[in-house]
Amino acid sequence: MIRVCNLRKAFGENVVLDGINLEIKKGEIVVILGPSGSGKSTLLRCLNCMEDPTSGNIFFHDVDIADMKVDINVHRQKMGMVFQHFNLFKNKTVLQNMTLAPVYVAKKKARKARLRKFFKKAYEPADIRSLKEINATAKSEALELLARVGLQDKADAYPATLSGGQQQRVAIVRALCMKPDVMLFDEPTSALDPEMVGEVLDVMRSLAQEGMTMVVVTHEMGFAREVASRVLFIDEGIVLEDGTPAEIFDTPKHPRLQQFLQKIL
Amino acid sequence: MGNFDRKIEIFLDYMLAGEGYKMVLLGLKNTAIIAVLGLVIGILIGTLIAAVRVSPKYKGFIRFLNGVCSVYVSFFRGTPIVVQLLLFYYVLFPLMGVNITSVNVSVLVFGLNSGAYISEIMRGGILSVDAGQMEGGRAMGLSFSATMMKIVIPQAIKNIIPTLGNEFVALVKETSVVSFVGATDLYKAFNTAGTNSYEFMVPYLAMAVIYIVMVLLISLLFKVIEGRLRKSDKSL
Repeated sequence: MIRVCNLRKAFGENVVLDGINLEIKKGEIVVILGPSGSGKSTLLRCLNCMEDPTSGNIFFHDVDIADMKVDINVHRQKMGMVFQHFNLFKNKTVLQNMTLAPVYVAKKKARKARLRKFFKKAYEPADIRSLKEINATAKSEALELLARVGLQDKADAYPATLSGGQQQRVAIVRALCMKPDVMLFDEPTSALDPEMVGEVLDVMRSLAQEGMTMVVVTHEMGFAREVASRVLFIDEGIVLEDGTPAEIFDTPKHPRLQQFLQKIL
Repeated sequence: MGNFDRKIEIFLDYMLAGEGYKMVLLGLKNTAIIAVLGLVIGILIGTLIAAVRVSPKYKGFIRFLNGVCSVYVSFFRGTPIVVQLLLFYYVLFPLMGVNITSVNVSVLVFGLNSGAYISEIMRGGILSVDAGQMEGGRAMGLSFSATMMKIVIPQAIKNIIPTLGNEFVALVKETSVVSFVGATDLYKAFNTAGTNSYEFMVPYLAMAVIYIVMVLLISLLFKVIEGRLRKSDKSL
């Protein structure tokens, strides 16, 4: 699904990623580990071009999205992202947060289809929906997802009135509203109070059970061991070790990884 | 203070008996039109300029627009508004062969002028919005401009409402120079009252009071707006 070829990223003189090669298949749950400053967050943010790679290619469904000519927005719609600091839209209610992007995209599609129909007289019934239908579908789908994470009664609340854990759960279902093919998690529990970490991990766990492809940067070793199908260890911009959780945690080969595990476990 | 009573009498006589009050009402109307429309035009222009100035500068076209905007801002911030009024009324429009009333010129110039100031205010407002808001929108697949319009600018406006109120107050007060191009505003009305009744003390005093009352009302209005916009920030 995602293939990374020789990815390099430098901020000025500072080389953060130094030639990453990686392939993520459909249904895989990849956890990226590494000490701070190792480039793991940058790698994740490069996957949907939130950071433009300095060189190298990122293929998503066989399209090189690192190419500046590609319309990155279309591809990002299929890559959900969850941030450390939630990044919920503060001026929108929970429900509006969730429906904003799906409605925007559907409206754009409908407008294009209508134009095409007008000029070419081609009839494409699947694409043309009225604004009312678009809004109603988006709303019912959003409410369904909210109910799944137990927040249906918060639909009309503003993000500022929610706890961190609740906000992060909303952020996850907001990304799911776009029906993404892959979910990227950038330290989703690092900004949370310890007692709220569990509820967010539970949501992620159930997502994994449904077969969602996930790439997770996290410090939750328990989660990595239990849920991941594959673990990457990154340091100084290079993938040092790549294997199953058992291989990584029980029989680490690279001395840098052994040292890292000793410190945190 | 017998002298002062006499002066008030002359002023009231002139205002009520003559055409004085009509002129004051006209002046009040023009002042309001110039300030309000000026602010509206200013907000539109200011938002556009600010959006261009905070856009990522990958494309040559954006870089070109950015250059145009900085020339615009430095012209309107770098010359006195009286000079701009005179330039537009006596140079630019005659050269273009356009006939335009002095009130319309004033609306235009005040709009363009406050656009330059508001663009800087807006830019600060946009930069003060957490960068995560933009990231959140972009990660959902919204374009830069869509995220800007739907997420960042509404929050930026909330942040800048107090400063915008200041700008509006300044605008109202600055309208007192439009008589340079012959528009009838508050100053012109009271100045005429003074000239015609040979008595300036009370008219100018009354003028000052009216300006103060207007400014106080505007401040109150902006406080109310600010309070309403803060709704989404309140925690339970």
